Amino acid sequence: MRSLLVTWIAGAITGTLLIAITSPIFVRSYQPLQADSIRGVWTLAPSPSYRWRSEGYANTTIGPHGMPGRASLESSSKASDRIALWGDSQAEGVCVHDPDKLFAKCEQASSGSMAFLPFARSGEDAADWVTQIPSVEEAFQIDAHVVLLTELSDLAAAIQAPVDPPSEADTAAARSAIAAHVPAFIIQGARHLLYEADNTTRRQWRFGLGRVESSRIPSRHPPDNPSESSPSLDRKPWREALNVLRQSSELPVILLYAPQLPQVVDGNLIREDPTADEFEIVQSFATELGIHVIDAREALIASADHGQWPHGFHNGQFGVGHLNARGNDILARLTVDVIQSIIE
Amino acid sequence: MLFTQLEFPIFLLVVLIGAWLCRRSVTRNGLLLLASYYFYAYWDYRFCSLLLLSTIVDFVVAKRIHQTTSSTHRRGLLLISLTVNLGVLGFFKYFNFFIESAQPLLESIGLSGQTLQIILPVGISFYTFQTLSYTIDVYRGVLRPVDRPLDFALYVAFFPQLVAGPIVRARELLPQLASVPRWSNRRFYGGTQQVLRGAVKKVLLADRLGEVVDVVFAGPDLYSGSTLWLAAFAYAGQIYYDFSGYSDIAIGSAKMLGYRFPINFRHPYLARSPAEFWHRWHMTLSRWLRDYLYISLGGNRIQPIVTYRNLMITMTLGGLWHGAAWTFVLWGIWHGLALSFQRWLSGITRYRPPVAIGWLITVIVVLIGWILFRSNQDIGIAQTYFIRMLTFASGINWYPPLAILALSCMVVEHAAWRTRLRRAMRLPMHAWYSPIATTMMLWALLLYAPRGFRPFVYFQF
Repeated sequence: MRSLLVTWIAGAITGTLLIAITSPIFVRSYQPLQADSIRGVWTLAPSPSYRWRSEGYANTTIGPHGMPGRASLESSSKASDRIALWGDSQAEGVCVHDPDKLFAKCEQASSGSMAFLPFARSGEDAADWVTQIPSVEEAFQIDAHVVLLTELSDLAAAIQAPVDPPSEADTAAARSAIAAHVPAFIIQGARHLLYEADNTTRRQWRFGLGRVESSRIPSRHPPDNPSESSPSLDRKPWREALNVLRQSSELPVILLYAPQLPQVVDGNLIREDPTADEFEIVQSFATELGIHVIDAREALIASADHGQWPHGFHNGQFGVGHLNARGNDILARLTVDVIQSIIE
Repeated sequence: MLFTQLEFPIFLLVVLIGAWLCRRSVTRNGLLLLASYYFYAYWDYRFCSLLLLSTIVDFVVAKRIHQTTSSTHRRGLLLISLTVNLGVLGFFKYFNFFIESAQPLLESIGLSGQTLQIILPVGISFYTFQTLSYTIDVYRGVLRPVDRPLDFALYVAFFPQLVAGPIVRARELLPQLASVPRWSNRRFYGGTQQVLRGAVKKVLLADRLGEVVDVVFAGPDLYSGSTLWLAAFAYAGQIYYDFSGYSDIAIGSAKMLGYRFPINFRHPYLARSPAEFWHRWHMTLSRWLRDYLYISLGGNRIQPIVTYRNLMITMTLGGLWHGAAWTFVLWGIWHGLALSFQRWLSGITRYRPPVAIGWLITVIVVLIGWILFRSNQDIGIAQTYFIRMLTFASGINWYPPLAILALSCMVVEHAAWRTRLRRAMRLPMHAWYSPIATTMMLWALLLYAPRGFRPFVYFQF
């Protein structure tokens, strides 16, 4: 009995060690955060390898000031212009390898004549961008700003700027401390145990008796009016938001509009932009305010029509999710063309 | 309650402690009955009444059948049981299907068939077959009716097999319920391993494969032929691991409580003929259909043409049992045709194809069947799927690595089962590798389970 117990304890330890060794293949990194004094936000601490696994299986170098994929501020001697790249997770691009990230593709498309500094970060919106733009401009001698906009609602958030600077009381600080000391596979296990699938809602335990609502009976028939189920965007204060963005910098600002198109939803191919009307309004106000707008929708759809989907990965789903290397390539070419015409 | 919910291990632990503390079978069975009704009411307490109805009717009817000598009276009593059980099943499961299917006919005679908002009670197909087998066995004289209503109620509602089988026969379980089982370390350990194995099959393999299946079957016209082939194999893997995973958890839970359930799967994709497939796939349903339907129709004892008819009726009704949709009916017909063809061929020639050819043909037959089965109850989807798959149409080429890994696991697992590794795969308690593998499986369940709720495929049946 005693030897059996010893075997099982030793085996449990060995099994856990084997999981710890192999987990980087499947488990993402949990990187500590740092309060960046220049940007005034929480950023990922520098790291040679930040893993992302749910889409793309990519490893990312986290450079100074939390720049994903850019190991240093140094740029090639040919680079005469420094462009700041803003956006959310789509521009951050941790699901693609460093040479395939949007900023890297832009540098390739400019043949090294421009240096792109990736300041985009998952979960950020225009409120975060306009808060950071003045200090970043001053510290890094920026010549222009490119804002990748995949959801118009991110732009509307500009009116909420400025955002509060990082504080030790933030939950990010506590999470950062855990990430610094606890192995990623243990954090992942705890998250799966304590949180629902959205990773934000605390798991609710239920031991009471149940009752199924008849409204939850699955129907074989599609809804009568499909337009009712399409997302709608409330009228947003676009002019105010664009004004805030414009006033944050005197340098050229380029809005790169690249919504998730085309999209595959429930087996249907969606080619129409549900926020097309709103975008027209945004485009006209932006032009009035001297903000350049690039509309990438057509190029993204054309690429998919040729069998090269700009969004999605084999370990995710095509037509859903983040920009892949092909998508970044399309956006980079469009962006560099416009910047060259502006700067010239 | 679902076996894959985190609440289930807590529920099971409480039931195990309570059950093994009971010294008398009456208290033990009472406790297990209470736990089983709670298990069912956790989903929807209102449908416990149907369970109770089925229990009372079959207990009383079986008793009366046993006491009566008049064959007319006995037949009448059996008819009552069949009417009540199949009537309830028919209303909840098939009412809307028949109304929808008869709509053109009804309209042609100036009537309009109104469908109803009916919730399908979970597990109704399974426990209906289970209670029916008891009454029919008593009617046939192969089983004595049970004396204690408590034992019978537990037989019907016993939580490990309540919602998706295995379909345990009364003569298999009732004798076990008559006394308190003896504790066995080995059996308990075997049960825990089987539960864990089932969870791994369901959560890590079936659910991962299901991610691909759901997307591709939702819009087969978007995907390339090769991706459609992959998704078809993925569905074959998903439904196998989903259902056999469920069966493992059910059998393992019962084993931990000291009871033995019949096995439900024996690596069906190793089958070398359609008939062998049905001896390996959902075995408790296959034998139910054989003993209570196929043989009742005359089986293969009469002329060959009657045998083919019986096969077709059995398989078509077997298809309909799975769900109220024409795609399930077609699936049943397809398998009926395959079985009839195999029987016809073996009747006219002594030639047996080489093992590999037999296996390949069986895989193709089964795969075609699964596409019908999974076509979201829409024959049009199946049609599109077949055409695009067979013509290797162009479209999105999508090859998810984790699904391919899960399919590779299926191939390796099936191949290993044929070798001496079969015993090792059960992770014997004293083997040095068992604790390592067990720990890794537990960690894998925690770390690599796809997020989000995905019920068992067979729950809808």
